[in-house]
Amino acid sequence: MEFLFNGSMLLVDLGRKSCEEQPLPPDLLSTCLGGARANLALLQEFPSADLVLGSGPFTGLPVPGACLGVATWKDKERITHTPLHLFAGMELKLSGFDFVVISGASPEPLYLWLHDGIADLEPAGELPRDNWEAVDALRRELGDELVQVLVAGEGPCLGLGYWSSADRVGLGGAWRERGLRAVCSRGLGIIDAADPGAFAEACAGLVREVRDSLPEDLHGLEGIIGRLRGETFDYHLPLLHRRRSCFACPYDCNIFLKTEEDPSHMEAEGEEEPGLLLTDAQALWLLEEAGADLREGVRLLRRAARLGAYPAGAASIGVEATDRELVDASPGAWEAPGGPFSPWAAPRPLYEGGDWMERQALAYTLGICPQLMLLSPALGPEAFCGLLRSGMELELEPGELLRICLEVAD
Amino acid sequence: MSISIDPLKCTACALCEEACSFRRDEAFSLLSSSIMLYRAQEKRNYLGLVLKLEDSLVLGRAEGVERASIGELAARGGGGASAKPILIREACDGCEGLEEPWCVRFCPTGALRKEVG
Repeated sequence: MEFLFNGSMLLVDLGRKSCEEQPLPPDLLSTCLGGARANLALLQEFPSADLVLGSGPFTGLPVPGACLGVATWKDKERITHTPLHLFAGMELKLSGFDFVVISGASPEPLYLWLHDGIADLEPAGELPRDNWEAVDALRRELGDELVQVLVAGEGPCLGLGYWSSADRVGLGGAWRERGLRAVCSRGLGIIDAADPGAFAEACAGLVREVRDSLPEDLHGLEGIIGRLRGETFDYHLPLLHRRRSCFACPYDCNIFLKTEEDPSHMEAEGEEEPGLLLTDAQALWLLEEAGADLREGVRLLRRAARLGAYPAGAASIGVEATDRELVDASPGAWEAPGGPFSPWAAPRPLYEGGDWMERQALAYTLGICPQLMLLSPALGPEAFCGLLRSGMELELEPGELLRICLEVAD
Repeated sequence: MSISIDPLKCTACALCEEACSFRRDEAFSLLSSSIMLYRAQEKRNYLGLVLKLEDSLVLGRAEGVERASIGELAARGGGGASAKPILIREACDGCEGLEEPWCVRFCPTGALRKEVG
């Protein structure tokens, strides 16, 4: 039994339209732990594959910030890791597959549907190029409003359901070109821990520690931006409706901004599409730096989300941009230390003393949000070693854990 | 002991669902909880919590907290979007015997609190 995992992976060949379930390779988890590090090992084991969607040991579990799935993409000689946040990573793992290894290309558009340990490749020829319409169409077809959809639309940036993902490398465009329009998942699985009681107790304690490590007035993307500017943590955003967390996260970084309705309107009835869930601090930062009207700026970012354009790139070219200009916009990136990780998260730790690369390597390997890792010093190797001990019966010293995770950054 | 809901403090992290499911199954899923996050109307950012009691449901909606009989909600076709609707789940017992319910222990925002008496 593979504790903290399902114990199975899926091999998808788009050219042959085939899906094959296999047990995880022996020792994959004990040597690579999971997430981006295990994705790399699977790309070596299956050299014809160039894309792996993977879960960390903590993805989908009540570990603070454990929302993360990772899309690892080998494009020529360059390997990148894109975080899949909100509820996408959790649903992917609980669909029954820890890793999805994808190779080949299909001349006709397809989508992959993962649920209950079952995988189907279905035709997607009729799927709209508008990401919002595509998500609506897939959820209608699959009969479940909670299906998580990774969608490749008109532009280069992979859509995370209706909202923009942390893709900065053009995953969306690459998927579309090879005939993969969407990966849909719904997680109804059950995950076991080696010592469930001890693991759950440790998770509860860590949730409290992380919450206590965050200042009370630190909220939303504006809190992250405030910290980066060294100013007040929290400032007034006039269009703010409610903030949301990703799965299992004590920090409410995602902000819903209403442009088409009074933001104080809380009832279910009202405008069908009143605004945008913004998950990208850099896009908000750029809009503010440009002095853009926030309402028009958010409308611009909503157009970008529908098109599959990069949100930060869209924000940098301005609210008058045409759809074509949005699709062609560059990813935009804060100056981060680099490496294979997405520059979606803040470009430096938001507390004293953290190391950006170490925090990202831990996050992408273990299945923790890379943004939360930069916010809370409570999430450290010692705490993770304790969770791996009770969760997987893995005895690791903090230094050894870091060494394994940092192999991803090499 | 019962649980109170402050719906506007909820940020939809779903930790309560997983913690409650764990208390039922000693494993991790979102299927067995007596509390459920309502997150279906994503484009409207409308969200809330539903807590199943023996004879009623507590609906923690943005508009306020409402208690509805199970029969009334079933007639409305309610219960939220889920593969295992709340109406067929076990009722909350407030984690009888524990000092603090699991959902309250995990809630990071104070949206869930225990009420004694």
